[in-house]
Amino acid sequence: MAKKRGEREEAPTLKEKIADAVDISKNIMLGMPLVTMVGDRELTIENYAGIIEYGDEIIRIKCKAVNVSIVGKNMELKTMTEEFLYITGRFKCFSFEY
Amino acid sequence: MLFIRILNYLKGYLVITVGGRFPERFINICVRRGIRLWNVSSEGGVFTCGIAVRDFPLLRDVARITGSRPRIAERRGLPFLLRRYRRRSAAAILGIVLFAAILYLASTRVTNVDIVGNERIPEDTLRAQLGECGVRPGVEAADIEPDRVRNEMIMKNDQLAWVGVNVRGSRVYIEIVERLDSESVPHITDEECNLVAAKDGVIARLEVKQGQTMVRKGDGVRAGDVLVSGVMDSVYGGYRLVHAYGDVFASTEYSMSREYPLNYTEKVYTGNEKKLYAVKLFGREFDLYTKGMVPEGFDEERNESCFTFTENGAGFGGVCRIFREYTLENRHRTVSEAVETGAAELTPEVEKMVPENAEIINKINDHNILGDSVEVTVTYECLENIAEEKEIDKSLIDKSGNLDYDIDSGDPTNTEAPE
Repeated sequence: MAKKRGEREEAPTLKEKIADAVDISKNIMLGMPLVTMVGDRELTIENYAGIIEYGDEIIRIKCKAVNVSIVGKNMELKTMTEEFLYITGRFKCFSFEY
Repeated sequence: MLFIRILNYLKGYLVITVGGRFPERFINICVRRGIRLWNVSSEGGVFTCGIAVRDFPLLRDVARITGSRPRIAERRGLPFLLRRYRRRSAAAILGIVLFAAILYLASTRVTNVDIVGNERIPEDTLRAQLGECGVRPGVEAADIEPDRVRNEMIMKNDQLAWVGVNVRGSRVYIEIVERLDSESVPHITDEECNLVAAKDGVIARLEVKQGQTMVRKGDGVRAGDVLVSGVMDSVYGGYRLVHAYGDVFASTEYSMSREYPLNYTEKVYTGNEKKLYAVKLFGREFDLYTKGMVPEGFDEERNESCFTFTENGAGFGGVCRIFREYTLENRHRTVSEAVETGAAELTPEVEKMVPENAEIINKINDHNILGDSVEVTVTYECLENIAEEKEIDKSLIDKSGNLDYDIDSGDPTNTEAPE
């Protein structure tokens, strides 16, 4: 079945295929963020590149492959290192941006 | 996380506020340069965060690039706290000196004297005697010479067979072995004596092991009456003297009576109180008030709280004297109320009079109305051994070898000795 142009990105890329083949975790190979959430209170993002927008109601984070956007209330950046971000608050929405 | 927070507190950190148009950029640059920020929260375009003290100068560069202005909002942590209290260093030094002094005193002085092994000798007596030998709470532990104390104690108290003195740090352990009973009590046949009544009573039971029984069950005797005679009449003429020995149980009475007026005055506390304090250290009291501050016409209650390292040892503590103001008010009570209070008051007093070895048989509460007051009497009937050894008065023995107690007591019950 011929794929439409818009769906092209859905198909596994070469990198992804290689990653699958050699069994390397994708967050490293593909620059995907590793996200850990504890309910709507705590969130840890590993493998991020930087912060695009920062406020107490919206935080947007730049990662190598995709960007992450979190909407919520009273959000705080509790800890920041080059490896991970630790965010607390009351989250409403977690979404990816391309 | 907690560990990191404690570490931050110990090292000291700053809470800064950063204003500017691109807080994200500021944060990104900080992360990239290895400047640690934490607890970042934003409010209306300004964000606050925590930062290590030594990282703060590095922010100047970042601020120039981003065009933002970091400001110190708060200084937190131990170094800042210490700086704030720097002027109170005299008090801190005093505290350290006091701490060292108390530690020194507590570790070199005797805080506790433990006595083990005494059964008959009262502990207070032993404590007093040990005190005379220089073993008491508060003395220097190193000054105690166990050999000298041991010898002195055995000299002082002839009921002691052996004494062991062990000094362990600031505690002194005294081990005691008492002389055996038979060593301290004269042997039955040793000395001639009578058994006489120690107190008034009615004879209830006789257990005579040696001697001539002079009373019978049911006889009333007064203190000093001969119960068992040490003079044994012999069928073959003459007499011989023995050590009268045995138990004579008699019912005795202990009673107390007191008059209780129906109209009386009672102390009513007004609620006014005054408290004075004193400090206790090694058995001595240091008043924290002058004599003029002690109020008069007040009831005093004394509360002592003493911290000791061990039970019945020396330590330090406080004394609180509470003075309560009172007024006297006239009251009236009924006869039954007076009897009730009287019985409640007298019963413990009577109980104190009853000796330990007496068995309580009966308790009687009685009252007697005398005009506008009531006389309340509490009586305890007891059963106890009233026999008491007493030397034989040889002048009472006549030349014919017969004993005549009539001369002295005039009690007819004593003239006929039961076989």
